[in-house]
Amino acid sequence: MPQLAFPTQTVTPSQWLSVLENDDIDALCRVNDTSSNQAVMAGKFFTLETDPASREILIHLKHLPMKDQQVLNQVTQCCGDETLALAGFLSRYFSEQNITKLNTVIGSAATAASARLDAFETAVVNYQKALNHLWSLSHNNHIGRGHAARIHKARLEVKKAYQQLQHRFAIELRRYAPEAWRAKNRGDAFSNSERGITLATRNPKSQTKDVRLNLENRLQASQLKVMSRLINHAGNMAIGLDASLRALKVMDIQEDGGDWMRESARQITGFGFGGALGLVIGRATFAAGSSVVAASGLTMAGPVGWIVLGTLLAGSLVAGYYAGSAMDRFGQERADWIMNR
Amino acid sequence: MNSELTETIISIAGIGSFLVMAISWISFARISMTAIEKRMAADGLPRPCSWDGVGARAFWIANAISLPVGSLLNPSWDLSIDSITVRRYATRFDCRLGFVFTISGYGCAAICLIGVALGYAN
Repeated sequence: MPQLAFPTQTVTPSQWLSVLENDDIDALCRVNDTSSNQAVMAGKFFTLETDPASREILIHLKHLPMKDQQVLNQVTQCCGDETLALAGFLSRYFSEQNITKLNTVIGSAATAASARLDAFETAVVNYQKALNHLWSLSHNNHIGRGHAARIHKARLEVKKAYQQLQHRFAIELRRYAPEAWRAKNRGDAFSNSERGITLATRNPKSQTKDVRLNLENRLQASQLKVMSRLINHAGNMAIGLDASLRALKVMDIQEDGGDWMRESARQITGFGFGGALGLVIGRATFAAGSSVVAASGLTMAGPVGWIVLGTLLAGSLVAGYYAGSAMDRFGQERADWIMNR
Repeated sequence: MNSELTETIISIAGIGSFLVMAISWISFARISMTAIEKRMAADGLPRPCSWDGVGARAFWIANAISLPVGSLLNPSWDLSIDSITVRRYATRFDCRLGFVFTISGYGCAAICLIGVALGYAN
């Protein structure tokens, strides 16, 4: 996963990355077209990976105009990893194309056009329309008490439209932050727009530690989606398989002339106990494991976090399986116990 | 204690708690879970559990809303469910039903594990 760093003060790579081996420092410097004793200016990009994709990203960013690079640096200082969420949000809602679309709806009185807007865009359009209405009322040179009342009402409309816009802004912005960050309470900068404004106007010279811009690999994200779909299907298939095997057992006993109704009752009870309690114990294992991981501080993003997640999942699946088997036998015994009374 | 009496107690307790769990599972899934997910979808949030193979998310959601956050069985860092967001969308009825479901589920599991340990599953 490509990683960019922005040093907060002018520093040489050999000082800044002193925790790494000298060979690694030299490799990184080669990728960044610098040397380990040459100072890197504060606010310049420095990539921390040596693969070709990172190099391409670095070259692409270096060709930005100087002013844009400075703005990018300041935004990442304030917002850290949330910068990517903000970028996604802005490119979705305030690209040239989208602004044109919004302006068309604001200008027209037709309601059919506004059916194509989503909730945030509707809030923006309503706010703009309220402002336009207030402007036209204030500039049409009427006077009188009726007119003043109309202007007062228009002001209230503007305030209401702005509140709706703030509410929608917070909701939509949060969609661009990955779920793992939201669960870890890292969306604070965007929990409401006032907080966002406060952070954006914070003193950019504050001495916080280096901010890294993680560029999520889109391929990884889509692989995660495929994996979750596979897990969903595998879960359903496992239940189907269990049920079929039990049905086969009952049918075998029926063919041999045995007491298949008793066996059927046993198997159904076992199915219920095994399935349900296997889930319960699997959940308990996963939750307890997550508590332990959080307490020990292993909650990291990226590949390390995924290894932890994989271990937790595997552990809970194994626990669920063994518990489910034991519960299955227990359930069958209970069915026998009832039938023997 | 008389082993037949023990077996009777474990069996009745196990089957009884299983029935309570089953009924509260179905009612929670049909009443509370669908309501919570509908509310979250109306606010534009994605599903609370992005991975769910076998429909176990009813139990996860019930855990998240009825147990205190940060406890052993409802951690604040959990990659399978966003418990903090889900809690905001749960009414008091949902919390109470979820509590019944959670307690009966874990209680049944505990009783059955005791039964297995005592050798009643062979």
